[in-house]
Amino acid sequence: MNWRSRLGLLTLVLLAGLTFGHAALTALDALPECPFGADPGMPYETVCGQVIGGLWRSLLLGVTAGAGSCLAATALALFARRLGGRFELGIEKGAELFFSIPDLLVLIVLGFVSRAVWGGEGVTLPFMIASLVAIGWAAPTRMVQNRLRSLERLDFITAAHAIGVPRTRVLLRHVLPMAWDYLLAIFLLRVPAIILTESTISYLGFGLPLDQPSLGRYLGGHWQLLATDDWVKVAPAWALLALLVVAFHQVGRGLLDRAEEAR
Amino acid sequence: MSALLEVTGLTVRFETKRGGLTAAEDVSFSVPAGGTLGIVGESGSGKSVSVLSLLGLLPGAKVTGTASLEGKKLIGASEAELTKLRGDRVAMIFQDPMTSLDPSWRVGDQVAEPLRLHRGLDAAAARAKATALLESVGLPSPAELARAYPHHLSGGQRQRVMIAAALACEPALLIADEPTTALDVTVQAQVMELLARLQRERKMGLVLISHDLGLVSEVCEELLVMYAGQVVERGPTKRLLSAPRHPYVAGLLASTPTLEGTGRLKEIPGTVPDLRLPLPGCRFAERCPQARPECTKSPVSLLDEVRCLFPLSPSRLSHV
Repeated sequence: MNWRSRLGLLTLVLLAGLTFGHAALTALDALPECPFGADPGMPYETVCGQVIGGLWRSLLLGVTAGAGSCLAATALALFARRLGGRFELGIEKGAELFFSIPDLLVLIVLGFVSRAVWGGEGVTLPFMIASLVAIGWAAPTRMVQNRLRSLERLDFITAAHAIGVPRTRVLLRHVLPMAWDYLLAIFLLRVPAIILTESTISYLGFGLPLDQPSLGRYLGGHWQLLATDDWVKVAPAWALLALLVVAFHQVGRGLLDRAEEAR
Repeated sequence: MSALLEVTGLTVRFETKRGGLTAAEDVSFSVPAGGTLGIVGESGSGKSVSVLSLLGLLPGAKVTGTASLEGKKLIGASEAELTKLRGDRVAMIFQDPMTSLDPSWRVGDQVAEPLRLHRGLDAAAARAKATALLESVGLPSPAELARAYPHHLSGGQRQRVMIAAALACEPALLIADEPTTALDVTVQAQVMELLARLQRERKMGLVLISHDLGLVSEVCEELLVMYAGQVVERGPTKRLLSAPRHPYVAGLLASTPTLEGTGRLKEIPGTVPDLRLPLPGCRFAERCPQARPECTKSPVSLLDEVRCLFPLSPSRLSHV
């Protein structure tokens, strides 16, 4: 692992520590005063509380939606490789087609659907996570499919077939274990992409509600402050969002390089 | 006596984006129970492709012809039927032991896997049998070795592990595809000795694939020589070595160093033809010292064990 990935990993640990520390101090009622003061939109909330809460939501939905889309992608890719033929071609073409639809458009439509059905100011966190999984499966599916395909060409996979290991078992017991490093790297690279997508959609007001903001929603809700003396109230959120995305990307990138080198 | 393995008119074709390629054409041979057959040819001659296709190990290949193992048909058999045969009645060992073992599995588990699949042994019984197998292929402290991972082992040790896994279910036929090519010369001799011994002890059929005529002739009673996807000559090893009838086989022998030989080795001029191009006549004609105009006109069929319009007679061998 290179120094950039190490630094990224350290940053992620610190960011996670920040959210947990904040939660613990809140529970103990020992929270120090927030240096950035009160949230201008909601005077009874501090900027620190809103931003760290936003960081937590962004982190949570990034990780869960990332894990969800990678799990779905792995399952689909395994099915595709196992069944082959038309099924595999169908998944490949389906992913390609899905890939050409702009993510933001789909999320906006899903947001309208949610509001029409359940009402409320924005969409709920679980709905947002589900939407992000629904739009995020295509790219990792193709990547995992290609990875499995190239792993299946390895000599010891042919050797496993030659001693009569059934195809499903070959995929699960011999091929998949070789793909773990790559899957983890794809997951870590999916997380920042998802956080950015969600931030964009929530910034524009089509995502999470303002009283339960992600980093993107908080920034979108206070975009006017940027040009005023109160810019310090949004600077921490911008900084945390940038740190979060860059840190995930660096760790994922480092792992991907390693996985690629190992082959 | 009915044959253990019977192959007739085997043709293997690949469809590529730049057109079709027939990697093996009209290959026929048989191996009696307990018999040994050597398949010899340069790389790309279709020797590996022929046997891999028999076992259904070439995804994407179009395989035609007929082939049966112990009376069960191989070509056209379902994936499930083939999976049942592989590792049980027929086993295979590969060229490169460094890459043919799963790096994330313990050696003992890899040897035990066919036993669990085909014999339904539980983990403990399979492990015990695997340890015994590792010992039978001449590996020291097998119990300890069974817990090691492939990267702990040398190339020769890994090939012995491959052999142990292949023999686990006591197959009637073992196919060895260049089993010693990737090994050191001294280890090569040991592995060949081991294979020959196991073949004799277990009265198992053996198909040995190699580019090395000398190596194969030491172990095999029958030889099959392939060139550019076709069988050019086949017959008993002794006869083929002493009196080859196809000019290619004669050229191969002339280019093999001997202990007594002095002076420069003869080489076969030219290179193997591109199998994507149409090859109307004899595929060796371009490189053949005896070629005549008729040779390139129409396809030459395998007649009397040799695919040549003008086969050599023993007395003419000295001119090659």
